[in-house]
Amino acid sequence: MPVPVLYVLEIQCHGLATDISVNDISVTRARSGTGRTLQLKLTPWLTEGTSQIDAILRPVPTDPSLPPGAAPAFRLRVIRGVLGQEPGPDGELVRYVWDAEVEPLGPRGVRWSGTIPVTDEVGPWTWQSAPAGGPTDDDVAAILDLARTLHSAAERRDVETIVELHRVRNEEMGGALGVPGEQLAEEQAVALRGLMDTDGWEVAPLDLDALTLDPQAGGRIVAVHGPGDFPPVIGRSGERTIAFRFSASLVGGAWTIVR
Amino acid sequence: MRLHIFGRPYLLVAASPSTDSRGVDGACQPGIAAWLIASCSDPTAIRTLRTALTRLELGVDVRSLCDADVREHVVRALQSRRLRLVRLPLGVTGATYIGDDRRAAPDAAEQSEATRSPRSAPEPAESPWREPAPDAAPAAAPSSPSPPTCQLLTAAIADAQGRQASASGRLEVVPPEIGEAIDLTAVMEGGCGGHPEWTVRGVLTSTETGSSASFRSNHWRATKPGWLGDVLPQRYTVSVASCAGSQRFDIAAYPSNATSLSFHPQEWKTAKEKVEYVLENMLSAFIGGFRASASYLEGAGSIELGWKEHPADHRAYYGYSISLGFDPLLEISGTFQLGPAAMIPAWITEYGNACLFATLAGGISVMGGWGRTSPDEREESVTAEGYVDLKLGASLFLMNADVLEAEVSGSSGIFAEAEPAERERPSLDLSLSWRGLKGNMTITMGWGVVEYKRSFQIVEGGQLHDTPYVWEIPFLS
Repeated sequence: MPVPVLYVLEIQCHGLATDISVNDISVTRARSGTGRTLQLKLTPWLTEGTSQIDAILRPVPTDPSLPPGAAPAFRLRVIRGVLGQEPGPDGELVRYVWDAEVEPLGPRGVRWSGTIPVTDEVGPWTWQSAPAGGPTDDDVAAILDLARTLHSAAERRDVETIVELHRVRNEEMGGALGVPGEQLAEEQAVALRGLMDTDGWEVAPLDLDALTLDPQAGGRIVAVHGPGDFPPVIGRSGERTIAFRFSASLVGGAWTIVR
Repeated sequence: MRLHIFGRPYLLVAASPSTDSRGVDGACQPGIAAWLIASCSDPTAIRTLRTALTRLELGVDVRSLCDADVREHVVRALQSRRLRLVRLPLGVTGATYIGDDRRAAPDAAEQSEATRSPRSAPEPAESPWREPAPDAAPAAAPSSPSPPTCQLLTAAIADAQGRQASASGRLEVVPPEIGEAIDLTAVMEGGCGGHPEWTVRGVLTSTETGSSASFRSNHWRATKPGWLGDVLPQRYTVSVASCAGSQRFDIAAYPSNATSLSFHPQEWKTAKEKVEYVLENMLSAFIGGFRASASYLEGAGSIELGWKEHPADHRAYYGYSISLGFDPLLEISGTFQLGPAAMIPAWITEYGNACLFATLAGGISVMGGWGRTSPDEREESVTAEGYVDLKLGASLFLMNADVLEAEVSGSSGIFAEAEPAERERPSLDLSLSWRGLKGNMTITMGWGVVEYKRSFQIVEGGQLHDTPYVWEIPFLS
């Protein structure tokens, strides 16, 4: 399988709540102002030609862990490169550095939009062809049922069911990352068994009423969030925690985990 | 006349050029008591002395003279009258007034003493003094002592700016290159023709006579460069004498060195050494390669130093005005691989070798000001601002292909804390610290999350140098 070209989103920020979207799909967001550096392979959300990227920055209470001199900061880059080699300056496709003096951070925050030139072959992805429009009541029930099924499988340590629920995602992620989907599925199974086949495995209770469904990309994909923006399903074994954060699309008449 | 002062026997004698090695060439007659009283201008001393002297009877101690102040006052009075108290050997038992000691017989010495003293005031023509003759029988009292012909009422000294000595007689000056004239003024009662007599001792010695006189305190410069706040002044003593009463003044002359300079912080050896130590020995061990990306010690500093006369009173003070502005003291920007001393957990390296990096961005500035504009006014202000933000991250380009996302949360950084140091010379306590390299890492594989906010610590935080850390300002050491 050829190693694909990587489109990597890099964010460095602290003191701000952030929400980054690509093609109207939230790819990463953080509500606390904790400083962080994130790199995310964007390919699974890109479309050929150009893709839109949006960043929303919002104020948060001062992070007490930061010294007084540490002002809120945000920097975003999209870097293009290949695996095994750190891209040089030429690999930087998009760069945005928030300047508090130019864009004061009011109570509603700051919004920035940019465009990512995508010159490599990507997709097409299942979510692109999913029907648009907001989820109906039946859709909501189906998505919640999907969450319940995933949670139940985790509680039952049913690795096979979990892997099957992620089949479409693993296939598309494998294509985006240059890894066979079967390999991802196998890795998933091995990792889950390593955690679940222990006496200490436990899963946090699922409160369906506390879940939030976030339609994106015109309703073609729905992100599922747990309380406090945590993943909807969280399990742990000893000190290790695993979180299942997922987005679903209507594929072949059934809501399916696609991201 | 023998007196018992402070438990010791004394002999009151005339101080004349013919004084022999024992300083005894005459003894006081009882009639001098009235003159002694008159020679004291201080009412308290007069009262005390009068009381003491009226009790000068056989077998009565002069206990009041045991008081040091009274004794000093009497001694001054005696000196201005050219009389001296000579302490006798302890074996002499004349611990009480034993009457007037007289020489066996006036002889040529007495005549020559009178001849050598052209003035009529200090030693009256009809001198009450006789050469000592302890064994001689008491002589008959003279007719009466000659009264003093002048008395010092007040005396004052002032510099060229009119600054006067303090109540205790101290004046501090900073003579300019041409020196500084010190005006001497005495207010007298009566006149003897030879008083007031001003005697200057110290760096120079001179004698002046008259109610108004002056001398010039020398200009001088210290050869030692740098801080002169603790330099010892050159000293003068000025004594004014009259027939009755005297006064003494002390003058401290400070050097005129004036330093005014500006310097680039890179010349601040202390700061340069310490910042470079932090860069090379501390940060580079954990974060490699950023040395060239760091800028530090940019800005300017200025220093003005010099002794100054305080216009409002007799004091001089070491004035200074020092300002430092380092912006930045340290600034680093860039992304760097972790250094060899960074202990990267094995579970991270499973996802990619050497995938962790550190991004540093930001600067620290330090502003400081020190000033002394009078003997009593000092100002100090030191602030440190800014922050070098340090973030750890993981490069997806150097991690396994199946890793979708890597996030390292938890901010670290380098910051400074500064305050004026509690030292005599302006300096500052400045510490550079970092919050350590630690984070929580979330690794999301292509199929989902596998490491969710797993904590790790590469190095503990803390100060980036030894403590305490006093930064001495250049040119002041």
